[in-house]
Amino acid sequence: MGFFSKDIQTMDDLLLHGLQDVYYAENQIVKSLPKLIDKATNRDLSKGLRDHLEETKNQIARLDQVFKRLGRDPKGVNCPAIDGLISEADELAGDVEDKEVLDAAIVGSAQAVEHYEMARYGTLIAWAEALGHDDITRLLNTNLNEEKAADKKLSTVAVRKGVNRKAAS
Amino acid sequence: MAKQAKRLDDLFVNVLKDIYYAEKKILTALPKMAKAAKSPELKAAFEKHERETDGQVSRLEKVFSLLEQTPKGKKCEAIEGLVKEGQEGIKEFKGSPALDAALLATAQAVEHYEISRYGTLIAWAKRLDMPQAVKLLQQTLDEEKNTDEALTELAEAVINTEAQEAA
Repeated sequence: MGFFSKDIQTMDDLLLHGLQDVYYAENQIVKSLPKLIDKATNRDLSKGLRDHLEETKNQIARLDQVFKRLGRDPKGVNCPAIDGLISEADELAGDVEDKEVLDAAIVGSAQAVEHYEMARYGTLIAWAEALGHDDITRLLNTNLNEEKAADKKLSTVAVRKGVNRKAAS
Repeated sequence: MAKQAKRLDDLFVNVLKDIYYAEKKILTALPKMAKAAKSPELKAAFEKHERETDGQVSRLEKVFSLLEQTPKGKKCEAIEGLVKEGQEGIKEFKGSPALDAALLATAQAVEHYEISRYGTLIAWAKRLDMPQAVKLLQQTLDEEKNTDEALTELAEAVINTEAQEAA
């Protein structure tokens, strides 16, 4: 069904479906992060991914609250974008033999996922604001800020903690 | 991806092919999005970004030639998913007041995908000591970031109008 479906007519419907899309995405991320953690060799990278797995679980709990405030049951809708990102991450990792190059590939894939989430939360916040849902905006902002911080941490791991240097040597 | 990436330069080429495929896919999607958009400003933004994307494809071709490689795309599942969502949006929202907001959401998700990929490629190109490639990729990254910012501004205007119309 994806981000859009037939019964969307108003901005409220659009917000709800956007929430269901990102809810599905976060749940898929919880399923796929352990695989990346298993493959990572750099200690800073695996710790960063483990921390983000815990964070993601909290983000799902926040989304549960958002649904509750809208008087809806938490529900996901299939999202081809996150499915594509995850299958690309598997493909990219499956292609690499060298462990240190694999770490660089994992960082690249994880950052693509972070950016997808940042785009979605940014959009949802703008919609929630326009619709006057201040409490929801606050919860979504917390998630957005965590995603941004996770993205920055990944850049630091890549550039300063030796992931890219070791991959290139 | 047929070739096994043993080293960072192999991985760089793999992701270069991925974004090359993605940019070409975006070139085919943007005219459809421009045609579907209701707001003249949004239409103009998509048309402008189509011209920019043309230039970005040329820059990628230059990066391939720096590596003495023939430009080649490799199917990128992520952009396929993103564009699919965009197409569904156009189809389902025809005539709905939320159409432009939906188009903007898709366009910004695509921009973020590109921003992350170019960011990764630049970090790798620096590490691989390819200053010319860094320069070309940085120009494109800057364009993508500017586009995303312009879309954010448009989104605020578009959504507020739609939310008011619906109220």
